[in-house]
Amino acid sequence: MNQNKRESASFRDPSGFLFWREGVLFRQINQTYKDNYSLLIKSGLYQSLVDDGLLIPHEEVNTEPYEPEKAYRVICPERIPFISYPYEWSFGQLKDAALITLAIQKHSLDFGMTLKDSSAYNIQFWRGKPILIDSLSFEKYEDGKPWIAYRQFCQHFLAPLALMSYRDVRLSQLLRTHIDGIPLDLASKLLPFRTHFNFPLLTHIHLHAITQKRYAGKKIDLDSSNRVVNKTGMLGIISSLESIIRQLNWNPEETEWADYDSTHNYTDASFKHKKLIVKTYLERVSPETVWDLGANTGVFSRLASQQMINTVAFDIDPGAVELNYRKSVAGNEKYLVPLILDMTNPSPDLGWHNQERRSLIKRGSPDLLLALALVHHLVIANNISFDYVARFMADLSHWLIIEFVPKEDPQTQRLLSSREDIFVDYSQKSFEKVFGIYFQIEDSVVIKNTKRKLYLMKKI
Amino acid sequence: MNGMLFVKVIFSPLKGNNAYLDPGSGSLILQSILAALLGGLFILRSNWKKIKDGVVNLFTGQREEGEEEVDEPK
Repeated sequence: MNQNKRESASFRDPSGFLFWREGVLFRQINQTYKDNYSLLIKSGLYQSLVDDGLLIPHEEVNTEPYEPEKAYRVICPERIPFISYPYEWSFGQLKDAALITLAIQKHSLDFGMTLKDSSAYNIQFWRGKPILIDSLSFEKYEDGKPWIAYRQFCQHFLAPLALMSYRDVRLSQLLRTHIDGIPLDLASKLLPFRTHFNFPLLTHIHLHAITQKRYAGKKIDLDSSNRVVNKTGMLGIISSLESIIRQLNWNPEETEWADYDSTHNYTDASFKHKKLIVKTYLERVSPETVWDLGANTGVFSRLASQQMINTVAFDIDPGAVELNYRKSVAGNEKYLVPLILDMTNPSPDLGWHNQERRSLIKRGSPDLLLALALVHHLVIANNISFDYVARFMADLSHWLIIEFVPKEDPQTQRLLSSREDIFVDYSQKSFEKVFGIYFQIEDSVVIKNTKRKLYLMKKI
Repeated sequence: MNGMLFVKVIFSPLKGNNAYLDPGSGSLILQSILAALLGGLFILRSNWKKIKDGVVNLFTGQREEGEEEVDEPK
């Protein structure tokens, strides 16, 4: 439980940090940031960004600071139900996060301030939209001063988006190994040669990588007499970044699951029945948070999110997650966050002290897990036993809605078509016995016209 | 502008304030070049309609859209 400790991800910026007290998240603002914080509030920038849904709202509170000797003020930001990371986002999510960062920078310049960092980790999906969660990312703008966060923006947003768009959408996973964004020399090497003929990519990636190498470690004699990046120049750079990011696209074609809606194995009556059972179970448990594992394009996740239940819809397929995200944006859905996740290799602890970016399991435990048409993939395609699956799910949540897909089902047969059937224990009886070690089976129903069975289980 | 002078110039304003990121020397140099190039383009683009209308007016003598006739005292 998060009790009275400093948030492990919040340590790089000396302007302040996040800390937990009695399960509530606060942000301490240090004395060194006093002037910039005052300007943020007094200039009207804070209110304007909050009104436009670009910055997380906060309240100034009288809570005792975590480090009183350094403190100027304590604020309490609105709580984000689930923290996600850029390597879990689909192409469209990263693109929207990039565009909102540039919009915030333009907005800030209008109010005489500028973003002093542009980390993708400062953006979260809240009420269906990307939003900046770091209220200390602003500093006073001084005409002539370059944009300090330009390199970070290119590494965190432009490089991965260009690689995903021009090479392969799975290259977003490079963000997992490079937590301060993809190094530009690496991006430059991986991008196809033709990107040299795209002026924004030529400059912001390829030339950027060359100048970085050329001037790396050069000792510079500082001279304060001249300033060369004026406001118009900075707006020009921002406009160029905005234009290239808008141009970059990726469309899910027939990736593994993205055509699910037209290929699933149910008749209409079975599908309707399955939805009805899931809905009934959700009503019975009334969870506040749901994680849907193997959510595909989110058909069943929406049974929860449409009831105003904060729902995270995980899927391994970037195409399915992209379609799910587009659908949630089109429907202005506020309670659904689609994310990419490989269940067999969930996001690990990363960064400094292995505590900077947290593993999936450490980022909360939902009241209820949905695991529909998933178990046969884990057991048969990935050789994970019922016991391992049940233990993992019991670690995550108290309630479970799970579907058992028998061996004779065409989808299970498809998984077995290219391999030897070594799964002698794969049966409904064995499934119930093993899951019964960790969960109490509260109810179960066979889906109409199928041999599949849905269970509602409660952790013992 | 020679290389070293350029470096001196663009590094000057980065001390103080709350900057904690290392902006990178190469990134700053590139930014200053791009600012000159893209800043000009930005002005052109932001004022493109005005420029276009101005040129059109110059050749056709037409008034800009929305501009009203003003009655002159006779």
